[in-house]
Amino acid sequence: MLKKKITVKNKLGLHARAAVKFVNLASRFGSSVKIEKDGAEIDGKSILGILTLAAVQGSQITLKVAGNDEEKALKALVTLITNKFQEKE
Amino acid sequence: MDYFRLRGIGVSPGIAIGEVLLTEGVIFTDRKERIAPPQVEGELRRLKKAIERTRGQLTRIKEQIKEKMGEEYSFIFEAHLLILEGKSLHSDFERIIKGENCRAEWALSRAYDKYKKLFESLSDEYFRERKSDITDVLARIYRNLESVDQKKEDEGKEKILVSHELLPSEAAVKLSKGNVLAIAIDMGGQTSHTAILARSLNVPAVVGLHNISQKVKNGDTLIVDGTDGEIIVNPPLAIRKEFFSKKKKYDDYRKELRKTAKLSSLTLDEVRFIPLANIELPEEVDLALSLGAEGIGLFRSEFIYLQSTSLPTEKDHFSIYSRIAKEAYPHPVYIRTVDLGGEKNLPQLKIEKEPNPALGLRAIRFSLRDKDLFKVQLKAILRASLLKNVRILIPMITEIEEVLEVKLLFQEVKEELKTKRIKFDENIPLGVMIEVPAAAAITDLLIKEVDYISIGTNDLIQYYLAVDRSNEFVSYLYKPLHPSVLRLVKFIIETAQREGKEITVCGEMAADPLSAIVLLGFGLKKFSMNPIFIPRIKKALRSVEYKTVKRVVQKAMTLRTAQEIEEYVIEKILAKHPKAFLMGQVI
Repeated sequence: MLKKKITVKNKLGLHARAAVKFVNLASRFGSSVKIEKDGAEIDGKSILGILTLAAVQGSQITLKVAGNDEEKALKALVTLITNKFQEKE
Repeated sequence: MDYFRLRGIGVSPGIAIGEVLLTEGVIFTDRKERIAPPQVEGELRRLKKAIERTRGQLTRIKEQIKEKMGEEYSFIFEAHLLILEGKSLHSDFERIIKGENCRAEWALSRAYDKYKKLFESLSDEYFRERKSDITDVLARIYRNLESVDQKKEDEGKEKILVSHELLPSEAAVKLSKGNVLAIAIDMGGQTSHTAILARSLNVPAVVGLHNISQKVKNGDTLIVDGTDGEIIVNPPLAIRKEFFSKKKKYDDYRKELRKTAKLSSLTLDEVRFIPLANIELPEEVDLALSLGAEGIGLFRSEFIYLQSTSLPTEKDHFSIYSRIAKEAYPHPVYIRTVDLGGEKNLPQLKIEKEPNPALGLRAIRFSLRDKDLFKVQLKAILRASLLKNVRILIPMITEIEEVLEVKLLFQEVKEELKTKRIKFDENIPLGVMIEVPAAAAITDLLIKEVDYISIGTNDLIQYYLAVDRSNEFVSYLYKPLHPSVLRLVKFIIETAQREGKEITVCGEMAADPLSAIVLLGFGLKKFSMNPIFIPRIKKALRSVEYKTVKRVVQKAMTLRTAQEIEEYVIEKILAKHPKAFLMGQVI
């Protein structure tokens, strides 16, 4: 399993639109994706889970990816977050 | 079927009678209906089918909306589809049905409770509001458990839409189909997006009904009186008849107004006046013109910011402005730069909570703090000015320094466009709103710096009289005809005219027949108002003689109280023009 701590940098945090992008990307990989924030862990392929995290701008989250394509998956998801979900700010 | 009445806020005038179609609605059962263990498999299949139907509907809606209104709106249904596919949701359902030997309805109800609590416990408002999305999805599955044919009913027949709350995206979808007779909603106020949309599409609407979505069922008969803000559920025959006649009266009145809309805007002694429209949405342009508007006197650009949770881009602004400019052409369009802040705050603007928002960081004060945001808007307005019918209007000016700063920025933006070889109207007029008494008192100085001015009487009166009109304890003091208000307004209008500059009034005073006549007496020719009031103002001004009004108003200015002025003007005008205030039923 791979773990990576990352800060949510985009203005609106993991809001609905960003969550849609995250889930769509995560679902492309076979690996399981979990997100941990403040001790709560949710399924990264569930939009409801992501929304209930209420990760606003500046939140620290930890991605936990496990499976055959875990490296690829983690890299892609981290890129999505660091690129601020390609949002025009 | 029980007969009862409910009161709300009428936000879109008109009357309609029809059958209820509940959308969303808090229909989740509070009864746990048990089933025998062998039935569990069948129940799971029933749920699975409902989920499949839901998936089909959502996919279809998503595509339709994408086609009709663009990706901005269809995205919400993509989120709904993802919610529907959520594994944890499905395992919740299964666990409850199997574990408690109960119907699928109960499982949905439990899941709803769970997510409701979860989302309500969040401290961030945006995320807390996502509750409505999960509710929407669960309600859709719930409905699909019941009948297979619901979908058809949804789309075909004309219905009265009843809902707890209508999201802007939903409202756009539902109203664009053209089969909604009227709307009745638990939540909302005068300025909610749904209300504005209903008004512009001529659909009667009553909001703020608290719990109508729980009190009526699909198939109930409803009268929606958007004029008086009343709802009548399952009316007996006698009341139905009464309302049919009221509806006829209203429709006749409407027809009469439309006729007025086509007549020329001249007083009896042929002095030309110009009715203009205040609008908030591009969809309103058509309606405004059909009601007799000879231009858009005020486009409130705030709605562009309310559309999404991120900040609008230059392209977002531009597409709206150019659309309005095109549709209104050759008539002028006054685009007011954003009046946000104060009570109209949005999370993405990051404005701190203020103890005194009416006196705080709003409108131009906000724009001059966040200059980048302001420049984006100015650029978009300039780009939309090619037809030469666009003007820029700056709200809430307090002092000359602000005007100078705006002009400097404006120049910068123009240069920027020029170096990019983007064409625009070089002579685009720049004007300011007079809403702050301090600005009113220096009209003679301000006017030299701008091309035109526009008086926002609502704010001006509140600030000048130090009265919050929404405060029931002091609202009686809010009097547009207070001699001090009239003196101030007269000074502004006369000063502008002396300098040969254009002057418009765009507050509610312009929409009230008596006040409008007084303004005409001061020499005002441009009246900008909510489009639905244009016909009645036209009618009032067409039925008077400018020179009589001028004389009467001059005399009225020597009186001491608002009441004396009101009585005097009405009496004298009626003596000469008995038809001046004959408006029939006023909307």
